[in-house]
Amino acid sequence: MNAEPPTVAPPTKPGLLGWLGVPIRLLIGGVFLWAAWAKIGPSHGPMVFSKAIEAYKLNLPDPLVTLATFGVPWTEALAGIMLILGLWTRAAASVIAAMLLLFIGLGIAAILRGLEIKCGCFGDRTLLCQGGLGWCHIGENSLMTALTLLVVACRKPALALDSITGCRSCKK
Amino acid sequence: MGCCAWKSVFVQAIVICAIGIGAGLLDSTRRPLRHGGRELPPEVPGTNAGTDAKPPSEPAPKIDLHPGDPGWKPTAQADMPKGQITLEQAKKFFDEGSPFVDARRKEDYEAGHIKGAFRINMKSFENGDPPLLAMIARDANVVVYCSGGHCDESEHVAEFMSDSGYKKVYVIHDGYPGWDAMGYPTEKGEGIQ
Repeated sequence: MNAEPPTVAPPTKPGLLGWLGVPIRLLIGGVFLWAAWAKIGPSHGPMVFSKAIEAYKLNLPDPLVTLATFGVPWTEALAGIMLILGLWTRAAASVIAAMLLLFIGLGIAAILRGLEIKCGCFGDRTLLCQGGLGWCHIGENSLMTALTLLVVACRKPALALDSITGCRSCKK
Repeated sequence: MGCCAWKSVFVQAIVICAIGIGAGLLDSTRRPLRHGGRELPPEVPGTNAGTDAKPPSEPAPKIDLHPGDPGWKPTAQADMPKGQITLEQAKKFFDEGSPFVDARRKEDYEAGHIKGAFRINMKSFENGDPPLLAMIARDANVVVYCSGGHCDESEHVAEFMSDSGYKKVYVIHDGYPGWDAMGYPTEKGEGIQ
């Protein structure tokens, strides 16, 4: 029997994209944590966010508005923490990218329908864009989407818990 | 990258969403939302409020001209949502001695507010009814305002006050800038907060 023992590929080091992803993860994860806190942290946060959702005039039934009011910020918070820690990094980044794409779609639809409303992205606060919902918010979200997709594309994130726990989604 | 890695990413993403939505559902049972907006006050006597006014779900029209700009005119009742009042109606309440509530930030309030207005904003309700509410009768015509235009803090405060038992809460559509531009009584300083 000359069968050789199965070889285990040595772990490869993070590349340039892996290291570039670190500040991006901290930035996007931090923004999403902050956004979540603005929506559900203060006692008036959920009410303000639910009004912001209703202002988009999606004709959602009340239970769905409630689900979005609480489900979106908690998902943002969880994905934001995981992105910062580098745990299930690509999945967390995918969730955030999907949410951002949804926000972009809803924002464009609202602008094209002529709705003069607040973004609601950060509760009653704002990030870069001031005033009512406009193309600035679409640009802001598009920039964050592009950055987040870089993290999704990176198979070997640096300074990530994934490298300790053994990330299945990082393998080829 | 193989399909297994993408499959793994997808499954993990579903798990993240499921946990997030689950946590959100738990949170929603702890602090239930009230849908449909605040209870609207009765019409202001002698006005067309509630007849040809826009429904409350409709957003306020954009104010292109700011109060004080040349050509600016106070918004007419027909152009504002129900529950909101004109500057003229607000002045009438002011002359009758009705309590006014400023829903803006502390620095904005101290830079100038409607004479005698209380400063009560959304944060004031974080630990239940703010103590200042003890100075405002539940059956009074209460007038709330913020900065007009896109500002909606006054609507939120009006909703909180409605929940606290105030049934006649009105919001000044043009807000403090409009009031100031009309030359109505204002004052600066700490006021009542």
